Amino acid sequence: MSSIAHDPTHGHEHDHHAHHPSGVMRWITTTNHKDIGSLYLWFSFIMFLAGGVMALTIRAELFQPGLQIVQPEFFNQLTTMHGLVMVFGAIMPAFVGFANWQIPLMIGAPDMAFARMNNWSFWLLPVAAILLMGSFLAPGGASAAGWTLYAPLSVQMGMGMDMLIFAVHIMGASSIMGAINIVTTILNMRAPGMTLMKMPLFCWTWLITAYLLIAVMPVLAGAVTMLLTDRHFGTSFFNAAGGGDPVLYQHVFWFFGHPEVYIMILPAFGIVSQIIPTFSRKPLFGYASMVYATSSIAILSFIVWAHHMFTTGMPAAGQLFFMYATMLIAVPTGVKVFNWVATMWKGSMTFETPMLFAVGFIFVFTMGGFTGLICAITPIDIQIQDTYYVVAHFHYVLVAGSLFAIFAGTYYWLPKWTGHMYDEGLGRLHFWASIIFFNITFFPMHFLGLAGMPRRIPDYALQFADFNAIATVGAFGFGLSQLIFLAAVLKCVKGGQRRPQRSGTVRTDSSGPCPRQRPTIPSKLHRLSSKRCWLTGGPPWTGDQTSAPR
Amino acid sequence: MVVAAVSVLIGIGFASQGAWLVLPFAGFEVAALALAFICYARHAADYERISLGAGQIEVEICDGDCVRCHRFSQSWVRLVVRDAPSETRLALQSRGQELEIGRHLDGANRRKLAGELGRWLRQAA
Repeated sequence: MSSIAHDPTHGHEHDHHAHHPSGVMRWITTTNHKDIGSLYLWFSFIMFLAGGVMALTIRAELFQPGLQIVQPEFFNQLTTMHGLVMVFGAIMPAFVGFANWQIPLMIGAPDMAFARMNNWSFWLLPVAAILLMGSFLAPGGASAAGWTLYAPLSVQMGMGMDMLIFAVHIMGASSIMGAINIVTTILNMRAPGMTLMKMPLFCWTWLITAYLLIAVMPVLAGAVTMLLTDRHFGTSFFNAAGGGDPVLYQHVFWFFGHPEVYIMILPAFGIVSQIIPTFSRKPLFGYASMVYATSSIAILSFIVWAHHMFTTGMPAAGQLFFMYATMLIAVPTGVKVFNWVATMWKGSMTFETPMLFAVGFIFVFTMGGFTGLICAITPIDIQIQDTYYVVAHFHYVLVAGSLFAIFAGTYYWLPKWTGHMYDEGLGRLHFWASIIFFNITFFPMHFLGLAGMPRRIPDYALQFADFNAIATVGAFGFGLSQLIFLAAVLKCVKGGQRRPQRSGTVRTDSSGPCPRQRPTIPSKLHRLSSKRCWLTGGPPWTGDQTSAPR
Repeated sequence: MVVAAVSVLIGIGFASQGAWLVLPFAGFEVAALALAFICYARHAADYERISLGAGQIEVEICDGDCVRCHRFSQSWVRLVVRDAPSETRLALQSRGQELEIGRHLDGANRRKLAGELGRWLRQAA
């Protein structure tokens, strides 16, 4: 503690330096949106590696028919946990990390609206992750009911299932807090002149994603709570013997689950919509139509959930409704793909790593979209339900879609975050290795699914051996490729060439590198004209004392 | 309102099908969202105005609905800078009383305010 009035020498040496808490306390107590964004991104990468190790164990077991490496019970635990870890631990937190870093910068806000809640919503995640991963050590092991946790199987699991339910609750609370923060920030803290229709598209996609999260997270919380009460408190929501209905669980879960798919892809659309115009040297084609298409996708996502349940038995009218509603989603999605291609059309394109991943995203995600259309057609879906065709489809959408967009966004904004350029050679190597090995892994799964190989099995008939061997080789290649990404990021964080200011581009966000504590826009510290009066806080203000708040 | 209505309608829909536990979670969440908006709206226009007059320093603090004005004699006030582990805090101390200032500023701007205010106090001393 020091007193400036009594110590004339104090108070000058730090005037131009922000005070930085150091060590682990900086990260635990931070309310800085950039710090929290970095925490989210590193957390998601660690969970990505954890989920990746599970995936490689699964693929190693499936390298050839028979049981070689793991027991079937553990295999089922791995498939369950791989899905949950990747969805809730890797993809979703990564996008929240991007939101934390970029949204305040893009809309000109000094920080997120609720900075302390932002800190809390992140630090809930490691707790949930420990609970989730710790369930492997519980008696009976982790949940083996699949990431969808279908009843009645999930009602019969051991203690690992209870840990999972608690973890899902915590992660849901974290997501809701994050979503409330993003909605409040975007709606209330935009800089003067930044109207909603002038926002960068990434902000729009996150605003819509946050609304989706707010709408569906209570549904997931309700679903897993009903599982919990069925397991321990004598209720029979999903127990047919007690008058319940196991299919009701599927309705509840997928009412959450399908919008969840869009929660994982809409921010990816936003990232790609930032990158394509930059490297095409053209403004985004059809900005307004992109906004409306994103909104349409979000609204449609609420009326398609039962396309995951065509084989549970439903009236023909229901099947037709959900089939056509699902196919309808191709229209706004097609608008987006058309607009990205139109943006590139006659653009002065260059193919640095972010653009490679963005173009790779469009190419491979569109393939996943088309297989989604095939899955939407009821008679076909009844044939391929629970086969590797579905596994191939959603990995084309979530890996080549969401994950590639995360890579693209990381390479695109890493120079802004660190002040250094990433190694372009490593970035390109990462892209080409990823896209080649990704296709070696997942393309053969279409053939496996069409030939009838069911998902979530540790052993299979000999006829599936060749494609499984190819997929496993591809999976290990894809997994190892991610070490290139780690090397590129670490190299950039440690130093390297200073980031050049891009000129002639149409980036809408502010230029980097970005200091940890930057001048706020609008300024939070106003010096009045009398030179002897300060005004701090308050809404955007012009500097005229008569227009000051209150 | 639309978000709240959609969330509650979804909860009511599931309750009508027997899955009534969705509804309380929807209620909790809508309440949390409303609370967040109310909190933000209540404090969106908060400010501190620090005026240095003849022989006195006046701090006007608007906190939600409440506007308070604190006056300190220039001769009897001192600026205190506390370097806590996570942030720097500023306060004015006078005759055993203490008033925190610069609460709306980030660390860099708090330092800037401390520097300018400290210079003025030293000049006046």
